[in-house]
Amino acid sequence: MREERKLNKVIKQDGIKTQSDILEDLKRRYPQYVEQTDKKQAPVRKRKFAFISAIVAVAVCIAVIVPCSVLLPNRNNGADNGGKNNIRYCTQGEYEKGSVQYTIGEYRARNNSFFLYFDWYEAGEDFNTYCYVSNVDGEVLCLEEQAYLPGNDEVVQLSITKSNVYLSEFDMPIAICENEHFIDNHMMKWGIKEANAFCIFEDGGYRYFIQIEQGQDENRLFELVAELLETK
Amino acid sequence: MNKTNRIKTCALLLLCLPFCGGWTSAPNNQTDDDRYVGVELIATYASSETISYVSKQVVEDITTANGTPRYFAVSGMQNGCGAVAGGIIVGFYDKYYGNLIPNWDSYYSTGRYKGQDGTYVQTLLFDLYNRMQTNVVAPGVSQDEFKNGLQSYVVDQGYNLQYTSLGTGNNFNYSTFKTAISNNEATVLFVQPSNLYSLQTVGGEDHLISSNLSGNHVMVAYGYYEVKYTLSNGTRTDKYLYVATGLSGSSTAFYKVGSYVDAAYKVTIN
Repeated sequence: MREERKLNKVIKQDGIKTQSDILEDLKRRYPQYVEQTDKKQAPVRKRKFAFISAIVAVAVCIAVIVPCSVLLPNRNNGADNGGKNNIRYCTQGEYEKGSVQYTIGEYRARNNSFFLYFDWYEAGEDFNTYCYVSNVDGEVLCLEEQAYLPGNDEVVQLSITKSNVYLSEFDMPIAICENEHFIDNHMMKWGIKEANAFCIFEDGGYRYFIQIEQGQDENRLFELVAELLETK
Repeated sequence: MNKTNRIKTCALLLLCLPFCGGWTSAPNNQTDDDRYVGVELIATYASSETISYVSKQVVEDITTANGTPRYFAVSGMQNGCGAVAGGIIVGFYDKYYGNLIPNWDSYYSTGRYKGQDGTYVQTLLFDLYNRMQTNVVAPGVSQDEFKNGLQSYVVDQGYNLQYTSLGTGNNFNYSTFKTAISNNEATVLFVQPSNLYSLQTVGGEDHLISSNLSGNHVMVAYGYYEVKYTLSNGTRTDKYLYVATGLSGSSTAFYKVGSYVDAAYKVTIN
């Protein structure tokens, strides 16, 4: 109400103005704003050019984005490709890690999965298998198996996630794997920290982490990756 | 608000910031009632530091015999870092006091520690979890709950346990710690959210990668590492503790000597 009274007072003081009078008045008071809206319309040729440009831009979008959005999911939606188009990052509060009574080999056979695994059940000892299950939807996020290989007196751990799944507890191993090496056209990254050797590589929609406890030799990592790839 | 007023307001806010409790960087003084909970290890790639050196000398690289076992919390052990740290200590000493984990050896004949067994270690961890009253009074454990729970377990297995303080705050007694490591004794650390480090040599440079513990945490220190760099413009010596983090993705890490600790205790079992 108070604002309205003020406005009426201003109108009375100024009297009735025409539209052009008001515009002139505004130009005088606020030149920086009024000038922007007071531009002359572009010539017909320029407007035509802008219109054609817009049409071309829309056509390019349709030509590039639509095929990509249709084709990429099809490429990644295979039965065992990990669904890379659907990135999922999980913090430790979002999943439970529990010991399971089956081995990764048994899980693979039972679920008709095609991920790589170490067939080390005769050569190794003391297998401990863990399964990471999402608290949100019950999805198996990671399978992990640890074995003691008495021939080399080493404890090796293999963790497998789908390529689209990132678990926060693997952030650090990912960060330290800064070196690159190629085996059978597979790029693997590796690193050694506090006497533990790590490597990471991807194949067929899955990401593989290998860790050798108290391991210092990257060549041993390369051997293990080659061994894993041979099981394809 | 015109430009001058905006600048004045910003300056005033900046001056006020140091007086706001939440913005101070100094660690809070901890009491025995502080709780230690399960934490997330957050890797901060951006803070990785490259150390370019002319030469490098590892001055000391000493750990307990075969380090420690690497145990971690499993499903049903929410805020279980105290139980895991206690379990690592029990697993470590089981090599020397065989009944600490009944019917099971925590090590192979070569001396190497076994991984986390799904039966025996899991039973041990849940036992400690309960003895430490984890999450009973409040989330996690206090220092006293940790100490009493671990001691109760060890005594029940027929052994004695003593804690020897290695300092608090910024007064961690590094030389006593080194002696403890020489004597093959493990140390438990109670820390606030702080940084853990990994050191990686890549192409003639060292990369120091830091990651952040998201909450108060209990972990086990089992060695020390000192490295001296000769740089193009001087020298630099870095000192770290080896720690068993109790976190499965990164079971070991470095903790900088001189970092703030709420408490550190050498644990002796006999």
